[in-house]
Amino acid sequence: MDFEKAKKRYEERKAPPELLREVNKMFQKKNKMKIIVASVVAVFGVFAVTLNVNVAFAKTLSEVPGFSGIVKVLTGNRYAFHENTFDAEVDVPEIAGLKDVELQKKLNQEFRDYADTIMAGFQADVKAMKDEYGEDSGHLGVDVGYAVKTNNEKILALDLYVVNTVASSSTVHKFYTIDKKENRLITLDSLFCEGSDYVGVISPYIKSEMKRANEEEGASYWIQDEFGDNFKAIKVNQNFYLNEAGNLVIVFDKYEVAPGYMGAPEFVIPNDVIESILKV
Amino acid sequence: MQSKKEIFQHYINENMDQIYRFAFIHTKNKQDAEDIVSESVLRALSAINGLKEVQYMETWFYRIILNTANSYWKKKNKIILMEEMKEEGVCDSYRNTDLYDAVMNLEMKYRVIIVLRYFEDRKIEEICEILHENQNTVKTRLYRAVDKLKKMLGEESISNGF
Repeated sequence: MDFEKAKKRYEERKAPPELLREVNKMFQKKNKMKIIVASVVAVFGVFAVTLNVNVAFAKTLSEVPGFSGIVKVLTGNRYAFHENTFDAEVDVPEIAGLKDVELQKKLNQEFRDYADTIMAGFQADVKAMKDEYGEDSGHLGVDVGYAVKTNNEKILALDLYVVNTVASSSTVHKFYTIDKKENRLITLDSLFCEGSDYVGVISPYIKSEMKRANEEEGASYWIQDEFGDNFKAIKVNQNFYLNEAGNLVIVFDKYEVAPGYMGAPEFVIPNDVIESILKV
Repeated sequence: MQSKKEIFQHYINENMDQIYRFAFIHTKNKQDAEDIVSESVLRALSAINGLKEVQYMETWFYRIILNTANSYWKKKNKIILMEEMKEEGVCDSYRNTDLYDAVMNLEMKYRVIIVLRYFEDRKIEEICEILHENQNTVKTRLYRAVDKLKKMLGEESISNGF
């Protein structure tokens, strides 16, 4: 009896996307806090770092393609760790050519510290997993990397991300947007006039975009969630960067406003939305 | 480190189609299948601490789906169940039908075993775990299920040494 054809027919049936969305909400309800806590631990965790002997150390300098101007972002240190089902790959960015040498030094140090912290946390996780489940327990991986979002005459925007993989993956982003002319790190509030309610201006726009995307593009942003996990407003220090065109881009972490499969959503804020409160 | 719950969520996200299909064979309609999947996930979440070893997550969850589907039908209108059972009894009318249709018209316990073995390509040992039955029972049931299918399709039963 040949089941191949019948099997194919069986496999034609696919789960409706709404179902996956619904089901993911059930996890989200309690999970969200945990993810945030975990990332905080990762950032402020143990600082005393002794990298395992298995950690291969290699220094590579590779220029990021597409950079413009004199300021470059290079891969400073690269760590790799592979042991059975445990993998870590860490690319630490290094900024070069910034006029403000002190700022550059400070940022590069911050990147290195951050990577060290993540690695230390990873080592601790590996140990905990081995202690609990034995040598050949599940997969555990961490991937630290960066992406140059913008590098033009005015702006250097860097996304430093950490992807944690333990069966499923979560990603935490840290954005650095540097004003090359003024030689300073741009914070979200520094873009707006003092005392202006930028959270109250940007949030409704994002909410309407989420609604539109849900209706027109089949997106699954959490805006009408019976679990009460609705997106209400951006944080005062929400992740953001400025894109090549100089537009403000608001970024959310994975699981922050949508199920994991939607990744880390980005919203470009049109200038006319924030025009009236933008600092010139 | 990642909790069982996170591993479970990953499993669900990676295997939603397969899970949905397995729920679907118990219902024959989308809404019921969706309800069964949702309820199974809820049940699984509340019971996840009872899952001792992560590698048994899938068989554990399949058992939950089976139990959910059973109690779902008990709750639902019993007339539907009766009708379905009546349908299952009528073997001869399925001559010349497709094998897939025949499988979907098998009695539930045979349907489940055929799906697990031939549509999901599971090993006998895995099926034993999912159904909490011993190998002999599973093999016998599988054998009977195939035999029933052959009869339904008007093929010679058993003799060709399947």
